[in-house]
Amino acid sequence: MSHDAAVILVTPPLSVVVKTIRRLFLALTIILAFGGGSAREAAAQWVAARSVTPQATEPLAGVERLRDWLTAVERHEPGEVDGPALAISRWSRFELDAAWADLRALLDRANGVASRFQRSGEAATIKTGSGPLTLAGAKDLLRLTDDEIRRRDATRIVKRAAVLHADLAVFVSLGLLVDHSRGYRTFLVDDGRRVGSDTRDYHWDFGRTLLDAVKPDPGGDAMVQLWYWASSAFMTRRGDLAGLEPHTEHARRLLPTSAVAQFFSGVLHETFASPRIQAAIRGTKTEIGSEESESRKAERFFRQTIALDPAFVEARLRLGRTLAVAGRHADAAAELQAVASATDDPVLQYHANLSLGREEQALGHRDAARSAFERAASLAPRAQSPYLALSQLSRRYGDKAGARRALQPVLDLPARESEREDPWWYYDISAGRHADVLLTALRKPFLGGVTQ
Amino acid sequence: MNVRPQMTVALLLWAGTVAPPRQTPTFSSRVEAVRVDVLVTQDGQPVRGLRPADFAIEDNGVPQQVDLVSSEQLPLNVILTLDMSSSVAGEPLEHLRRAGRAVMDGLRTGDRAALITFSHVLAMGAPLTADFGLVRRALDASEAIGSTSLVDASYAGMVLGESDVGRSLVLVFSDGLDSAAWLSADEVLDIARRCDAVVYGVSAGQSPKSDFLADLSETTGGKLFKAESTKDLSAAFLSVLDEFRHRYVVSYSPRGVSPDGWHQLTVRVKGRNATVKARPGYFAGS
Repeated sequence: MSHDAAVILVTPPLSVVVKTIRRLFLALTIILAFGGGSAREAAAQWVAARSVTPQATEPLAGVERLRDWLTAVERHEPGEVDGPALAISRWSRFELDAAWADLRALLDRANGVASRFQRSGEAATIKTGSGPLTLAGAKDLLRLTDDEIRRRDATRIVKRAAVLHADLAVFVSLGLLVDHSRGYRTFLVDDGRRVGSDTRDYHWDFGRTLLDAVKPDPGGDAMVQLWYWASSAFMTRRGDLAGLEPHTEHARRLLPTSAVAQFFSGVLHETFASPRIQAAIRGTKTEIGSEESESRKAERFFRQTIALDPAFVEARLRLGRTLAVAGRHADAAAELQAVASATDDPVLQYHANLSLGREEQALGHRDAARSAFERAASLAPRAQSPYLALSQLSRRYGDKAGARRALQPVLDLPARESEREDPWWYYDISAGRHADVLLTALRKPFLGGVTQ
Repeated sequence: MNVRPQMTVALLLWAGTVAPPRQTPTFSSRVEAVRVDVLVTQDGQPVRGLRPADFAIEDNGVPQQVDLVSSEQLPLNVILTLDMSSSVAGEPLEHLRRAGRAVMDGLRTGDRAALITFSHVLAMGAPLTADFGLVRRALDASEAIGSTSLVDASYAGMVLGESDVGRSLVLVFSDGLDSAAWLSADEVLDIARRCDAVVYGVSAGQSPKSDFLADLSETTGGKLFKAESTKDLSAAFLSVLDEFRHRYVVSYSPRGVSPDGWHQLTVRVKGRNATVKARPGYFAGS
């Protein structure tokens, strides 16, 4: 995605995040990317970063910077806000891109020197800004084997580095580290209105760049797949739609047979179609489409998800809801009924029944609608939405007393938000509810200084 | 237009006419009355002193005989339904509390009030009560946090408003757009066509405004007041209260029309160049 395209970042306030995960889901903030001037600025930064790529005959100027980055990659303990993470969090986007360019250049030159040595026994050196570097010195710096240099394969480094930069993105997002990487700028919007601007970090973008270099095939690599799953879930849970858009686009290209990549693409566009985002973009120039067009895109992605993985129940739930938006009530009800029967996950059960009730009502099936709403209410007794739905159903059929009775549990609920719980409030971000588990799984192979 | 199909006996009791329950056999024919809440203005000022003979009502195009007209002497149920989402935090919240307290100060003996607050959380601050201190205390305790369930809250306000005898004003304030409701705008507007509460919407500020609030006010025969800023909320709320007090409740027993379905209503004032504001129709039997 180009940097001048309008995107959205939805993120809860820091204080909410620090307290509890539950509160993390509540007050949502929306950020829209700047167009125009910021696009030019981003483009200029990109050009500047690329311009540091050393030419084949030039000495490598940034060897010490590369050494610092590789040392941090090696020493960072995944999941910990440690010294290496703190050190790299202070780097700019320019420095990160330059370090990566230097690594690739050094690997190329080391490969060239090694080839020449193998052919002629000539012991050449690599010119750097810090003096000549021997092949042994380059190998020591890169921590790569002869075979890896011969294959120009930095997979072990980039995988571990991708975990470091995933951690940095997470820590910055949670407010545990201050970002200096300076990705593209965004508008900040809260409760349906723009309230300022912000700059998002560059670490997810940088992680994608790194993992593209995994050999032999990044798309077929299990760690790469898990990295995209965990990161997409985390961005979804944070409501980081600005990050999720280019992320899912890249994931679909890299992992064309991944149901997960299709699923999160669907979640992104379903969220774009939601009232909270549609409200936020009113009067704003943006590439985000109308509720209908975004919903159609979401439907396409959810159908592709199911085609790749017919057992992907959450995709069926979301497909059902997009069909409902399109007014295809019978099709929607069929999908939602299938979900309600197929899963034990209480979150999915709740959403399936609540949405199923609405579709049954639209089809004129009053009793079925009531049953579905009641099942949703039983799954989340402190939720207001099922009772509102039940009340509305009664009132729609002329039962005033029934409407009042059905509403009463809502009016009896405590007023304090901390004592309330309605999964509907978190629907947009609930697809990311397993982010912590996935991040833990991603970090596990790299714990204790292990380099795969 | 405020419409309430109901037993004539209930209407008489509600209108303050002494009609002891023991006399109910007089009305055993169960003739249903339709009640229409009407605002009549001329040159922007409320027109007072109108009598049944001054009104002309057509129900699905069929002229009707107006039986009763009641006005200011009727007690009010005022349901304050106030947006307490994060966009209201800070000074606007104090303006909102002040406006709510101003409404309490403007209520009379016999009136009752309730407070519903909403962010994404819908909460009953105070049930319908004659103890206005309870509502004031609930206003003072309110906080502004979270997103906006305007549609859900408006629905709750209407249901609460029509659940009791009396004349109900649902005053809905929001400074923005719905971002969290479960109920859809279409669902709630459909209910509004079946409900006899009158909704007055109040919006404030320059941010994008809700079409829903304008549509809901129009559908229930109310009006949308637009305040320039939250500083003007007290004046806006008091204007709503004042205007509502000057409305008429006109009732008639429908004749020559179908007993169910949608009924288009036309209300005029005879012999005057007056502006009449009333709901556009009602669903019979709902």
